[in-house]
Amino acid sequence: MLDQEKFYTALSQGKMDEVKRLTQEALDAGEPVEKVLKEGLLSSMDRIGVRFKNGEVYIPEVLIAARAMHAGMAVLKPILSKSSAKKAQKIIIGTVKGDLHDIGKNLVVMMLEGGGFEVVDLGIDVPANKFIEAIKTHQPQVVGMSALLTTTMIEMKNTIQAVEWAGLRNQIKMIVGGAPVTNKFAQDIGADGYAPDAASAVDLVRKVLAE
Amino acid sequence: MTYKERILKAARGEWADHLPWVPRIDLWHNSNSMRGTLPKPFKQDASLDEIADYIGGGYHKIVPEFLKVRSPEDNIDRGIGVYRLWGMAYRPELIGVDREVKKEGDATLVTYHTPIGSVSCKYIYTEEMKRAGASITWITEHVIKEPKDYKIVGYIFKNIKIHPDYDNYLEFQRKVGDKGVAAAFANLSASPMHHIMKEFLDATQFYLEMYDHPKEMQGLSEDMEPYFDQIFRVLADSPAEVIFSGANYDEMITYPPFFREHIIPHLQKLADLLHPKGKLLLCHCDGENKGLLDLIPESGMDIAEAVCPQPMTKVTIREVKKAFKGKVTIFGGVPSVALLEESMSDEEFEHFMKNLFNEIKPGDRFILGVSDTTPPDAKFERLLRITEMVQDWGKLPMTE
Ligand code: B12
Repeated sequence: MLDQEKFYTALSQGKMDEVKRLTQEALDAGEPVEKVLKEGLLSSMDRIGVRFKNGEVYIPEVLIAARAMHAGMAVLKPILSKSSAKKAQKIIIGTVKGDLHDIGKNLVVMMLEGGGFEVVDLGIDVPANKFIEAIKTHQPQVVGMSALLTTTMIEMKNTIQAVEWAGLRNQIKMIVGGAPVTNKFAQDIGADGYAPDAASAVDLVRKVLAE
Repeated sequence: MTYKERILKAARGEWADHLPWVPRIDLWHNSNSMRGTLPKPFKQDASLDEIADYIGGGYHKIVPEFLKVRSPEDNIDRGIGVYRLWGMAYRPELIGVDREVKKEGDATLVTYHTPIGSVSCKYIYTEEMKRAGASITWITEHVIKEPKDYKIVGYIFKNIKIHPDYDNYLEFQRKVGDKGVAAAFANLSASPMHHIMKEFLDATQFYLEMYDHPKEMQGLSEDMEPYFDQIFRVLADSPAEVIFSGANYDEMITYPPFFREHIIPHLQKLADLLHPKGKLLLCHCDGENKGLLDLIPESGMDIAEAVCPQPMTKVTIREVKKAFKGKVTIFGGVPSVALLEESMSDEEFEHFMKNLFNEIKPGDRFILGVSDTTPPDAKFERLLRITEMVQDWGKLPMTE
């Protein structure tokens, strides 16, 4: 039996071992792996994301939950990779060149991982050519860029252009975020989407992937 | 009234004759003089104060000049958030600790050897950061890497001796004269816990560590108390009128329960030392203040500097004023994007500023400034235009 409340409680308290145990138990009880992933882990993480968005929980709770979610994922991964289920979709993300702000981006990474995506974090101060290299190496479906400075926002545009010139633009969706970034700016520079916070970033990725 | 008098009146909740206008232009100046792009009529070596005089506002002497040190060795402890800058009113001395310093290109690697073990950290300051106008160094390797490091860092801080350095501060105060208020710098962090968050761990890792090693963290926080206490006492006795303690509060990073538990008590402690001596407490509140608005007036803070409204944050000046209930002076109001042509057209800028002046009315407890600072690509004429607006509309109390 899969007890969603138990998953949620363990996850929201950041209890990694407990989440691992619940995940294993659900599998042992014969629950299908996709169901354990969706109804056990992902739905709990979604609930935490919503509470975060509503200001009911704060960064630490989200981070410990995301980490516990990872622990559960580690149990599922070997089975998932063998099963016929679709492989997790991949996102690469980084803070653009000249910008060192990473708290927001890290939060987005954690939430995306919590949303069941595979995330490659390129870190801070990432120039366009590094994004391009990473696209070639990791073959992601989505590329995310973060910028907190008005002086570095323009790097998002440069990166989108560089990706276009490299002939890679059609195979990926490019999304942007960070305090000074707006929906209008995202449209102006030819991005595929913008989200104002980490919880919305997960919805955004799901949306652009469905397009 | 001089600029200094105006600022202090506004900061004390009294009426000045005119709305003080105190734009911060240091990063703009750093970057444009580096790039050789200072606008006409300035020579490329024009000084910051020369330009401030031309703009016609007061001098913004609040955030310390992080690049200005009396000798390069004074930079050495930046990796643990300990500063020795020109103009500071105290000077920290590390006792019982041997430092080993290695330079690797733009990076400085410092190892601290103490009788109970060693810790190390690394920070960088690159040409590119310089060109972008950034003034603070970047910690690339944090001093706390394993649980055992908490005790060692605690040892370092427990043994720091804080010496008054009032002559250094007085030189700063003299140089500012009556054009502004020379704030005496305490720390970028308001409290030990805030310091651990800002300086000792990767920002994200900090929150996980709070959960994984609460005892170690608490122990370190206690070990750091004497460091903060000494600074608070030395500054309370200093010749400064305004003390700067703590920066970058933000509803996400220093979320409300954290702010309540780990920041307010230290701000109150400092305020209680300052207020009987007629001194004022200022904090650099440049983050998203929305979730903290009701807590700030409880903190003992007299001036919330770098308050940044919409469109860069979720709050309007009207909301901030309402929440501060006349207890805290707002310093700021012009979000830096308002100075950028690519973000606001001239008409939008005019409209934005008119509306801002309306919100500021009647102008009590307000110091007009740029939040948090004028960006390198700002349209310079807009600063001059604000000076005009202040002249035309800024007579206090502002009516119509
Ligand atoms: C903390 C902070 C710092 C810290 C950074 C620590 C770190 N490890 O990141 C320090 C002190 C080092 C710092 C340095 C500087 N800073 Co600073 N900083 C801030 C502050 C207060 C908070 C930023 C933050 O982390 N917020 C919390 C997180 C959770 O929010 P967030 O980043 O917005 O992220 C959320 C969303 O935007 C979104 N999101 C973010 N990225 C992405 C990506 C995608 C793809 C998506 C979908 C969504 C998304 O989801 C996130 C989570 O909900 C802001 C103020 C502000 N209003 O933002 C100033 C601010 C960004 N800094 C500013 C400045 C000027 C600087 C400096 C130049 C200062 C200096 N003296 O040198 C340097 C620049 C260094 C550099 N080259 O990058 C200015 C920028 C002005 C401008 N518009 O250009 C700001 C806006 C302050 C202000 N009010 O003016 N800063």
